[in-house]
Amino acid sequence: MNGLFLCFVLYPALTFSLTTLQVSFRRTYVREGRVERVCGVIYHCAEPERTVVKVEEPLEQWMVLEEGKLEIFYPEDRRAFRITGRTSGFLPFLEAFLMPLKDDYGLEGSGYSLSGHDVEGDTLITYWDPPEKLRKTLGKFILAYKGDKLIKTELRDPGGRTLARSIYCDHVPYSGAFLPTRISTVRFSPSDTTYEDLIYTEPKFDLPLPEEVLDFRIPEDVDVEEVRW
Amino acid sequence: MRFLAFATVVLFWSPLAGAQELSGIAVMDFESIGGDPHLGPGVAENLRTALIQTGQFKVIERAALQKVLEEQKLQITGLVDPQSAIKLGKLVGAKLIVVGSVVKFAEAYTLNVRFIDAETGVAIKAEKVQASSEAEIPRMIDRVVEMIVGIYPRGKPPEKPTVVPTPQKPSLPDAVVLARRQAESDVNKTMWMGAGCLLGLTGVILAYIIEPSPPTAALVGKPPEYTATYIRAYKEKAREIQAKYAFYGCLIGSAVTGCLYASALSSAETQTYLHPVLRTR
Repeated sequence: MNGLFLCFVLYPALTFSLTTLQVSFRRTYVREGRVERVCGVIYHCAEPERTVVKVEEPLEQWMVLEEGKLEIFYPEDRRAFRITGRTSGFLPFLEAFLMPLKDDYGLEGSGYSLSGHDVEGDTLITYWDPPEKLRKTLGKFILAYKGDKLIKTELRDPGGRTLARSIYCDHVPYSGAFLPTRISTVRFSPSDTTYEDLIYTEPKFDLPLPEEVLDFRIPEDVDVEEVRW
Repeated sequence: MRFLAFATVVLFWSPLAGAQELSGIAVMDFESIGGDPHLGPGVAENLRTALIQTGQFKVIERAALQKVLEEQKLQITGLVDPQSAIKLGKLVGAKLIVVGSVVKFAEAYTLNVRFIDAETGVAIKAEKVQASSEAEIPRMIDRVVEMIVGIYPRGKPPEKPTVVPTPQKPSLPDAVVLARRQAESDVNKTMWMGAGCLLGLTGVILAYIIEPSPPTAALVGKPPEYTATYIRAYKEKAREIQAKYAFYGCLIGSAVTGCLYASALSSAETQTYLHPVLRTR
């Protein structure tokens, strides 16, 4: 269900006029009492489209996404994977950070329709119905804005139970909008509840990216495992 | 090995270390998911009582919490905004905030609890306790209390606090379990059953041919062995589910086609049988 949530809600192409982005991230993921932490830097170039995630902790890892393929390289192990296929072009850390730039979180573009709204103090809460084909599996999507800042999203199932909820805070301004630099998400499922805390630091917009990132290629002496999906 | 395990536990829990250091614990009302809406608040209230009974913690009363939440317009439930947690902690004098949810699925219950350091707003520990029936809920609560009390025995000198949880290294069995679980959740079973039903054996063959797509997020920050294992396990499981449901659909489709065919044959035979009768008229 989470996969479905991410694919349908977050996947739509990012169409705003961002040319480059560099931002450090720290992701803490808690599942069944186990904690995973990943730190790194995201580099995104809109033209030609290329996204690089350089993971620094807990190990060194490069993830390069361009032209519909994803390459994962481990410098220490000298191993690499090249993943080609239908949905290899999806890096959730980047999408999660940039989606608030889209009007109504990109919901209208994904086929959602506005079904109602509430105002609580200075917070506007809007309720969105999923497209017809998703109504058997997904219920309302709720957005909460305080002024121009997105502060909360919630996804429910058709029975009204919460499937996932995110809280957005520590916003920074960009291009007339506000991007949250901290996103905390809880996802409920019958078998599991997971928590994710994403913290973004030092965002740099529309500035030249480092050469080592733009020119990064998997070294020729490394065997690449081809994966098709 | 034992020492390592103990050290990990102490490190992991060190923000909570030493009951003497905790000026208070705030147990928020738990969310109820899939069951009676009063279940979550009820479980939280019982947890408060159980913690008070240990005599080791100063537990903030629910009424006091509610008053502060209303006055400050704070929303603290399953997911806590770090700033709100810090604010609440300061206002009620709590160093630790306990949030959680009670999930009911069929007859089984899962209690998810999360401990938040009120000084930093960081979740320092999460636990899941399961029960197969409602009668076992008190045991679940006792288990949570045991987890807290057992780690901070009376008289033990407090450890130096640290708010950074110790991440565990992902293991290969974990990769297999998680990949299978993710595949189970991702594969659209209805779609594959429909494909089998409509396309018959072609649907089943397609289910074997079409490669399922593991989620990229699961591979970020994971070692190469984990990545390779995860991809393999995910694809195997997803393909197995696809094929299974396409096969079921194929069986249903064949049965329906067979019935329709039999019905059409029977109808044709009836008409043939009626012919002489009609002729006698």
